[in-house]
Amino acid sequence: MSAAPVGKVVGPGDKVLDIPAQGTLRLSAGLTTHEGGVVSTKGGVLRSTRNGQYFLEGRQKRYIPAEADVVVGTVVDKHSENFMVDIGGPFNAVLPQLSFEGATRRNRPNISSGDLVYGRVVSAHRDTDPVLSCTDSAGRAAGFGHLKGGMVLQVSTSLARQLLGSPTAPVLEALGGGLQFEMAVGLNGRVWLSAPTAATAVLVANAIAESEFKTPTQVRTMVARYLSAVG
Amino acid sequence: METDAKAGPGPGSAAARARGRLPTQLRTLVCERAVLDRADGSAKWSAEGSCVLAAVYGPRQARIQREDAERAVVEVVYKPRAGLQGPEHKALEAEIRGVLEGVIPLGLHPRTSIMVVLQVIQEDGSVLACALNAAAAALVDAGVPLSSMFASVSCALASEGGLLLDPDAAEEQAALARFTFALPYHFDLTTKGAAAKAEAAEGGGEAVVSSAVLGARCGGDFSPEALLEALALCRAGCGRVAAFGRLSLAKSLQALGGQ
Repeated sequence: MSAAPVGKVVGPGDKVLDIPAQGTLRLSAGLTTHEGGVVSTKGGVLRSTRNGQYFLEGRQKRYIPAEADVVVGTVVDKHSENFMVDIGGPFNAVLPQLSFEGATRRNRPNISSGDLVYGRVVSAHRDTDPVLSCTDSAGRAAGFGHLKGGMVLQVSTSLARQLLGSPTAPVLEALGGGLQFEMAVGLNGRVWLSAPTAATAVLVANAIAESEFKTPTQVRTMVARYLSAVG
Repeated sequence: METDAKAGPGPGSAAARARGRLPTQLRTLVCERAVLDRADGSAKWSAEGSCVLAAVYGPRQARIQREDAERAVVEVVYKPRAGLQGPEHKALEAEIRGVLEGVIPLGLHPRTSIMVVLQVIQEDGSVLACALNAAAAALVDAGVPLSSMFASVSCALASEGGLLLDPDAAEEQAALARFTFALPYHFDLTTKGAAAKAEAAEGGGEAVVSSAVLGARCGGDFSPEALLEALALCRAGCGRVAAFGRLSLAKSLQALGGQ
């Protein structure tokens, strides 16, 4: 069933593969079905995940929210029940004030506009504003929540996907070997960084931004050069 | 100008064109993608003397007056090379918007606007085709969903009666009629499709230029036969533009490891 041209460059409207007569076919970003075939809707490189899901890897800047994505957002407004959060998509997302670990009507999170949050997209329907949550499905924080201090770096959505993916991106592996820092990567291309010193944060940000078009070996050389420069 | 009613005008004679170009020959194409930093997608498309820079913003929240609850709104801004925008540029905007609305599945992003800004940088004939191709490349760069790709080519009916593909400004000026067509195309990457076009080695097969017409702009003094002949000539030209477009897309995605 792997007749699909995985690794090939695909343009919008291209017929990528025929729908197999039997078995399951799992399609994700950039692919739809049309007249008995799988057709792409944007430009990119065809990839497949380990469980056989096909998707298109493009290099787009604009983020379109999708359910279960993790995002870094800026709180832009505070209403009685919700925060309005800018996640870089076409519309601001809604983050209920009670979608935090341990939040109750009496005990609300202390967040004001301008603050950063790390959350996951709970619903992303095209006709409604996206809804975020800062808890996992069991109600625990699970790493989500208010991001205090630190800095934000804007990268392309494909680099963000790489940084979140497994195996760990070579740039993070190389940086983690020599430096101490905390980061939160959003699929919307925003990367939050926090480090004990500003110099470390800037170094990590530069290394990540530069790593996009480098091979793993080039990345390791670059990080080694950066690390030796700061001693 | 009376043309042969049975056969149509056919390609013109080779002698008349600048730099010895053949009547069915396109000018050299160059496409740069992701040239602008702030736009969501951008591309610069040039065909020797003509060059257009396209920027795509969106899908983003539409202005309240423009918003449509059911579909995305496409806004096109055509900026001439020099001077203010006139009514002829407004007409071009409407023409381009019609083509883009034909390929963007608008229902996918309701309440949003997709803005395409086209800045003419150099003008030497076939500017509308150049602008359409630049818009197509910029939309792909922005990752805006498209139901199909499209290519655009102009041709001119010369006063001697022959058709000239991709005319420059002088040829357009001297022509009896000018045609610009935008035609949708796609590639068939399935094994069946690839086998059918085994002779095309690169780019996963030859472009399938659809028999449908996405947009057409014709003006001047011409017969129906000349129009059909022009369409056939432009269809062949679009096939070549499509092949180039795919090559340039593959090049821009090389960093992702695409082949």
